[in-house]
Amino acid sequence: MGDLRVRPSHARNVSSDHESDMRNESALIALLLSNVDYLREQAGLTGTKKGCNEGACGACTVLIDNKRMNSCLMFLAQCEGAKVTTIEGIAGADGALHPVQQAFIEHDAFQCGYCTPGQVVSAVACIDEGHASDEASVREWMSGNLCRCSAYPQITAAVLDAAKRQGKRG
Amino acid sequence: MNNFAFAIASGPEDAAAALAQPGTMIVAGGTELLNWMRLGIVAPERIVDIGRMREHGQIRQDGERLTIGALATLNEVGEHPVARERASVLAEACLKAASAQVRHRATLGGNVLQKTRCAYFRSEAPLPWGCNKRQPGSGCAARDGLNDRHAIFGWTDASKVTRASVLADTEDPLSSKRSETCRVNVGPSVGPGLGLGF
Repeated sequence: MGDLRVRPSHARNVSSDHESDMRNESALIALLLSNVDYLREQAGLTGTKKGCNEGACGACTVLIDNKRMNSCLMFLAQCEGAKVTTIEGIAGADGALHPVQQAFIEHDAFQCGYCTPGQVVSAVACIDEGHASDEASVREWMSGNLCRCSAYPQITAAVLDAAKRQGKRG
Repeated sequence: MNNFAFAIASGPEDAAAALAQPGTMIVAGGTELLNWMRLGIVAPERIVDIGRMREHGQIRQDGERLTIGALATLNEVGEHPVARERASVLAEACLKAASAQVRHRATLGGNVLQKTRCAYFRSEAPLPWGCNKRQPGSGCAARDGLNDRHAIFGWTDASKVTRASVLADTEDPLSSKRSETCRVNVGPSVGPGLGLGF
């Protein structure tokens, strides 16, 4: 759960009866939604949060083919054929927490929790990109994820720790 | 947002043909267009996705020339080893923009085409103040308003806004020579016929 593959069938649905036409229309309209709206309103994946809705806060961060992106700045239609990973897909299939999630808990890296799904998804990618080598690089490369509760020191520590555990710290 | 049709361009000719129809706009990364639509700056009837043409996002060195396709993302340019070494001002400027998430989508061509970041311009319609860019003749709220980060030179009574591209920062305004050791040729490689200006 949490890994979507947007297939061409979301875009085209050939049928002649009325009920299918209605499904066609909502499937077609869904393509015009932003990713974040589709995920939350249609796919039932409400882990991804909508913060600023303009690409500044990072609360809506998801992975598109393993690259982190703001889901508020993409139409669903632009993801055709891509693998979309949300926060729901970060933990293992057996429910085992990802090292980033474990580190966030151990380092108390959230207060209200609203930015946290975006922080975690972004951190997973940040580490994979090789940008979690030291505190300065984490602060710079995680700067697209805002936290109004100011848990930045704890978030930074968690990301560094998770990178170290994964052997991805420079 | 109003309803719109969405199409994916198969190539530059396809995109150019689609753009010939009125009310059509292109989208590559989407980091600008979606905001324009939400704020009421534009309301296209049809959007053509040109972001799949990855061959137009290549970064290539031929001798002393670095050619960067218009669809190269800011992260791709900023982290490209040749760009970092031989066109470091450009690479650094790219990595200073926005955030990692935006930079994975935002293209160099789109960056040049971005609209100004003036807060009065970037407000949701209907605007409670004058903005000559949004409504010609309505006035410029930035002129006598909060304009610390607006233009120092070159402003007129009509507008005080600046151009926001990373490339604007890399041009040396005092000299006609490039400050890099190799000449950077940044081309909108999808061709001149697409009406990329706004």
